[in-house]
Amino acid sequence: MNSQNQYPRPPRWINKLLEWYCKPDQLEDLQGDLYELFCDRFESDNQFKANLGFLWDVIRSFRPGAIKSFTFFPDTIMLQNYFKIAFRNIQRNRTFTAINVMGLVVGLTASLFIFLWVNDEMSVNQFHKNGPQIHRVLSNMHLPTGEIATWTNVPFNLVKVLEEEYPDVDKTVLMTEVERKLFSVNGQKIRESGIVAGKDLFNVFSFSLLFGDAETVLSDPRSMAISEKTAEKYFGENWLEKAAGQTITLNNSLEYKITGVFEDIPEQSSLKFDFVTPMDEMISRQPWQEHWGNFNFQMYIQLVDGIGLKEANQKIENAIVKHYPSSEAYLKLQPFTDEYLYSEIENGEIVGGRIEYVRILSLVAVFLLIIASINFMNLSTAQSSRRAREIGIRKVVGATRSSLINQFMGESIILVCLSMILAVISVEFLLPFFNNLTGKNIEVDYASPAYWGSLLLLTFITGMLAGSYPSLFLSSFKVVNILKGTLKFDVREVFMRKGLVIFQFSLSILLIIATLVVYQQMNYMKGKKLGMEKENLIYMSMNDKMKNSFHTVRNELMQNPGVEAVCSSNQSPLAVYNSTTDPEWEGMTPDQKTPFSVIKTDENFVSTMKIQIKEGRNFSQEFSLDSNNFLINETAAKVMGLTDPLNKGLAVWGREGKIIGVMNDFHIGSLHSPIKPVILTFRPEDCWMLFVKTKSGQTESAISSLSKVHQEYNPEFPFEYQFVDQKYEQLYKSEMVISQLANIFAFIAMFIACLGLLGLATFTAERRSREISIRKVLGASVPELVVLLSGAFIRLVIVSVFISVPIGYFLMKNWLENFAYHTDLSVSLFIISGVMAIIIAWLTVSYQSIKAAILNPINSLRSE
Amino acid sequence: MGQRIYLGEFEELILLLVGVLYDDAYAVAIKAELATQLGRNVNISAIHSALRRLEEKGFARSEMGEPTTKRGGRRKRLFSLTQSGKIALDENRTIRNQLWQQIPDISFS
Repeated sequence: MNSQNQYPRPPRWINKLLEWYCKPDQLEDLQGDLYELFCDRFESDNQFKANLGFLWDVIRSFRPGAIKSFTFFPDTIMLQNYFKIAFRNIQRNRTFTAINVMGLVVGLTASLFIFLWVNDEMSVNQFHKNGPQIHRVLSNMHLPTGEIATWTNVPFNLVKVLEEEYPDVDKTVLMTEVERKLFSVNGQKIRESGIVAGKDLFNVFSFSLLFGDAETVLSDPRSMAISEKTAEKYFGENWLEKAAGQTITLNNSLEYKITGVFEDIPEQSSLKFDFVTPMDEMISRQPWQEHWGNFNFQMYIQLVDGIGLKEANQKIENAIVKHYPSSEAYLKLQPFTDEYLYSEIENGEIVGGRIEYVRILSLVAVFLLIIASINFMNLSTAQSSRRAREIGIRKVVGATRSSLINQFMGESIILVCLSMILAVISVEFLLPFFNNLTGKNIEVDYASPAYWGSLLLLTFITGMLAGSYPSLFLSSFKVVNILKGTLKFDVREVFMRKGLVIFQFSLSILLIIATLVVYQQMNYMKGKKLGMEKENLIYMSMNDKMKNSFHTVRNELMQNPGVEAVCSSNQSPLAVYNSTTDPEWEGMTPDQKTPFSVIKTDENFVSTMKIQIKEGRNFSQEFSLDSNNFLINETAAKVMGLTDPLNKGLAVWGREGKIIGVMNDFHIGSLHSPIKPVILTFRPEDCWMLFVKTKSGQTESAISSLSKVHQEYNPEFPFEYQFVDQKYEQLYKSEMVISQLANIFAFIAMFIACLGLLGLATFTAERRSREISIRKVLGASVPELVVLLSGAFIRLVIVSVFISVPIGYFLMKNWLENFAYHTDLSVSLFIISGVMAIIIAWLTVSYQSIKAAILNPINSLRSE
Repeated sequence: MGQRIYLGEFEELILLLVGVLYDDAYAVAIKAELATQLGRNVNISAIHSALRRLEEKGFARSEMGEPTTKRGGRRKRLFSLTQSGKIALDENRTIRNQLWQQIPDISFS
């Protein structure tokens, strides 16, 4: 043995390769020759070269004369036989086939929908040519509390700084939120949604221009680009000839010339707008934007090719602080392609967002497939005695275990294939409903090889999964036992089957629990006391004329008995997006600089919104100095570190005054985020939004007065109003959709699991028919028999309840922590899920049990 | 004979070397001889397939030799000339000689 070890040996895997393909009768001398050559090379060169040479020899020796014959398929006669037997089995056990196929079709259909949805989510914002270089600029505000608040906005001044001082930044695009403005073209007046954006918009993003030049389209101050469908709307089919150079008046005041028309923005874009006007022009009208403390714009930058995210991030991090040292705002870049799925930012770090829904739903898809596969496993192993003789004969005639495994695996793949065809058809039929539900516009691209490839893969994986256990189990029978008729089922097999049922039901119950928790949280959010009343609150925007005569407007409206209160402000209290670090207060230290949300409003705001004043007083017309005074909320007081905030000095945006009142906290956005510090400043002259609180049930009449006032003061604009509570619910749109999807999928999971249970119950009832008859003859009553038959199954479901409740508790507790404000997990919720599962399972099983129990014993005993 | 089986150039070389190496004619030795005597570096697989063809044509036969440790305890496949192999080589040589002699001297000038 020692002498053998003197010689070096080539790598084992290459050797394996040789042994795999080489004809057995040639292997010995061929391998010997190659070893010898290997040793020679090893001595003359080195190990690496020897290994390489050996590999080359092995590859070169792969020649027709030396390759053994491979059989990829069993010969066709056997294959024909397998198919024949498979189809006979499918036909003979119609009930079980139906149950299997139904479960698989439902499971596969649901998974396909999830697959389409996930695919759609993943493709958002992926179509931009410069995609990898585009980044969103976020501002991380370091708060005095040590926390970091992240804003998606930056100050206007950053544009110049980034473009001039940072060579890694190729281009920047600054833009506003989408805003609806009134279009006046050829006498038509309609509101359209659009943005104001920097001139490189069309250079950075791949929104292609059908007319106009990407370089210059937004370079004139009064230029404007509109979408194709907008162009068509105003200029007809051949807009291309008519639209160029036309002017559009926005909000009845400013005229813009059309210098470009862009293709309608694809579904898969998170930025959506129908027109763009230039940023520079807006800044020239709003010089206050050139203040470093005003974070009012979203910013995207395109990095120079080859600059990594991390590197760029480090370089520009201090861009604001360098020019505005007191701001404590550090920049952070997020790749634009991640923006949609990873929108949630916590303490300055990107922590997730919609990607979690993508992950959860993918997991649900896998669950559904597993549950459906388990049906197949259980039903085929349960019926194994029926096929025992076939297996015995096959083995006697010479079938190897692997050929039996292949046969059963093949049968399962055939069944899955069949189900997949049905699933693809049902997807086609149900797609409109799914789109309606999710608010998407998904289309199946039947020409895409990726789609068919994924279907094939899914079929194969599901088939393998479903067929794995049955094929191993069925092929393991001992011939002697089968043919002697002494085939006994191992306790382990029964145990396994029970285990699988428990697994199925645990997953289903888990989904039910999740659904209930999500539902409860949704209700909680809808009904949560927000610190203000959002119900019966209408709002609309005002023009200058209306704004200037607001007092008269208010008086006119108040005359309607249906109107409870009227106020004006510059933003809706449930959708405050801007914030500023400008405020300075008495006793403030420089490191206390923090973002506040500032709402400009009048003296009626607090009463209209039903916000409680905790201490101090509201704004009042009687105090002429109130235009310099402020109201703050509790959180703001806390952030300022003031224990007795009343009458403390406060300066915001150039006005210095006192804090005259503290309001109870109220929400200014979705419940995902905690309450923010808010300052109210008394500036009726800047309030362009009108809020009307109506008495419940009298909304109609209030709206008609509103319409009348609008006609009087603002006839040039179409009358448009919105409800605050409806707007608020839109904040939770994605949660609503997910909640509905969860509902449906939980139901489907339960349905498939119950199908499996039904199959097992049917089978057991059949098998035990004689036992039941004998019991009946001996005096057992029908209820006793029903309990006997159902009891075994119900016990399994009860075990599942006990498994899934703690897991569900843990998972949902985690999920709820995503919300700054959430419901508590109640015990009743878990009891409801468990009892529901048990009742559904019992209903499923009892039908078969009762049927078996009331059967006349003669029928099954006579034949013996 | 009816059908005549021809020897290719490379096959002829290999067959000759089988004869030359006499009782140690196996692929690795043939490869070494090809390298030293003719300066031709041939991959071992080419020699294997040539030997296999020669055996199929009946010009060579093979038997297993002794195992060696260098070969990981595997035996060599030793080749030797068969009668028809010898005849084929002889014939090839005779034909060449005949053809050589027919070349008129002029063509060398």
